[in-house]
Amino acid sequence: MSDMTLPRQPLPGRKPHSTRVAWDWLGLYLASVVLFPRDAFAYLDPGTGSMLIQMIVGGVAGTIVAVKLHWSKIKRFFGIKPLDAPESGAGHDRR
Amino acid sequence: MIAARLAGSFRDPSGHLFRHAGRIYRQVNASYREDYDRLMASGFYAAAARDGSLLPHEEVELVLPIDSSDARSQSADRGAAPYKILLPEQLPFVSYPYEWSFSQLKDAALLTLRIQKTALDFGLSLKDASAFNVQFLRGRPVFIDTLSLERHPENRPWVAYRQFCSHFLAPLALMAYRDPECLRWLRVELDGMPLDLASRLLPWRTRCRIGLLIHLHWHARSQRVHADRKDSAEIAMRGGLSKAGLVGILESLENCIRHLDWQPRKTEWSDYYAETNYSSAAESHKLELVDAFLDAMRRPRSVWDLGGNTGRYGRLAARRGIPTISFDRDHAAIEESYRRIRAEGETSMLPLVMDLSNPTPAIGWGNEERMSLIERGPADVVMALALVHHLAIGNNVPLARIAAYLRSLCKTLILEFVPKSDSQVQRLLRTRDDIFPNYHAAGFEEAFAPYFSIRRRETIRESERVLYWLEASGGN
Repeated sequence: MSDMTLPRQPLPGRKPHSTRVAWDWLGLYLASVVLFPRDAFAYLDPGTGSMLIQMIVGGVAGTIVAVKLHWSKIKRFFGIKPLDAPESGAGHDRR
Repeated sequence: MIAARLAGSFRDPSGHLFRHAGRIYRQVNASYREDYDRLMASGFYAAAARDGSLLPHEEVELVLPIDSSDARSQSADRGAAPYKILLPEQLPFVSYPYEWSFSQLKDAALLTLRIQKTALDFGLSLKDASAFNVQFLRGRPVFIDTLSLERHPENRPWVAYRQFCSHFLAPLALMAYRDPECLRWLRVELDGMPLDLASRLLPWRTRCRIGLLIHLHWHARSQRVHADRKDSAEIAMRGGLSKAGLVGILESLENCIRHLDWQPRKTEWSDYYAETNYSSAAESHKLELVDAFLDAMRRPRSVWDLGGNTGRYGRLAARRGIPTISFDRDHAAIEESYRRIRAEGETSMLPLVMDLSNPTPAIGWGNEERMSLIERGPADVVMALALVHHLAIGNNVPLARIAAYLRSLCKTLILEFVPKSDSQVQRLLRTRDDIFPNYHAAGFEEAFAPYFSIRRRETIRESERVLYWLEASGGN
């Protein structure tokens, strides 16, 4: 909310391992979609699938965010010089 | 005076709503104490209440005699004991998502996402993302359920993600890609559109939209695949979603919803004023008369404009600062009216989709969770302009029944009677037998006499239409 003026708290909990975990579950998810194409019980328990898809999609989204944050470092690693933009603070909120 | 607990807020163990001395209060239970204190101390409440996205409240000292069922549940559960009593800003009218137009639901969705995103910055998260938690106040959506905010446990996915997709994303997608009338489904599915159903009903091309593909189609599939699987549930409970990932999901949802669009085409009703059968002199006289009636009334506290179309006549009341609800069954007319409110910053008008021949019933648990239209009345003034012929001739409702129903909705009635000779009524009779021998001004007055007395009667210039100011006769 752009009009909220209170100071933002630093992002907690962005741990590299959680991204890794999510990637693991992406494999599990894709496998399970193929292996268990069952249609039962979704009305009894729709919650599990809703949580898992977030972990998968969030893992990918988190990776994209991380790449964006560290883009200049990545470019430097590959020997590409940043043009004019000063390096954006990697630890900051991305907005 | 006894506090009456409202039937709609029983699911949340954190607290409930009750009515006392004509006002709605919210009890915060002891079990929610920690979250409530965090909400207030974090600065989130102050910021969100200030910018109008969260309904503001004040804490009040109120010791109430509790009813015996509450007393029993409290002795069984200490968490249900009261911690605080809040007096929220009072809403002039409670509307439900199945009465909104496309843009109203879309704005409510964006507000919910905005709150969730900001809440995360304060270490909080929404535990519910129900569309019923949003109401319209002064022309804008506002989040009303203060108790939905709780501490966000690190690495946990958003617990209300499914609810958000069912309450907002699925119906919006169906409205955008199929038909805005799909909104009516929410009246049947009180916890939102089941995602597998929405996924089946949407056209295949919605799979080419990445947001809909992920949050709707894959989401539905994921629910199906992982339902009732212990191993999957264990993984889900363990969590493993960074905050950046969660923000990414919220932004993707926001982006997806922003791009959903529906443009009202000209419908039979939204084009009504351009297609009227009366002259502009008649129309301006009608506007003048309604205006004069409103002037002569002791300032009403509420006006309902039934069959209000895009709200031309309702706005005569809204312009005076009177909270005005404009009901119409045509989605395009309501959408147009809402867009105008947004564009011009109108604050007293609320347009809602309502079919008066089948108005919103009381539904939910015990048929009392969500109120019927009539339970949300009465209004001080009801306007029924060029409406009676649709009910009487279009729907075969006897005039006496129309009178009784209108009487249950209001004390003062501004009503336009359109005689059979009028070409609009002739259109209704074109393909059917005229089985309405009593449909004429004298028959109308006779049918309404037991319920209303005539205060003023004016013939609209250059037409055969008559405008009445009616006052409830006898009794309450």
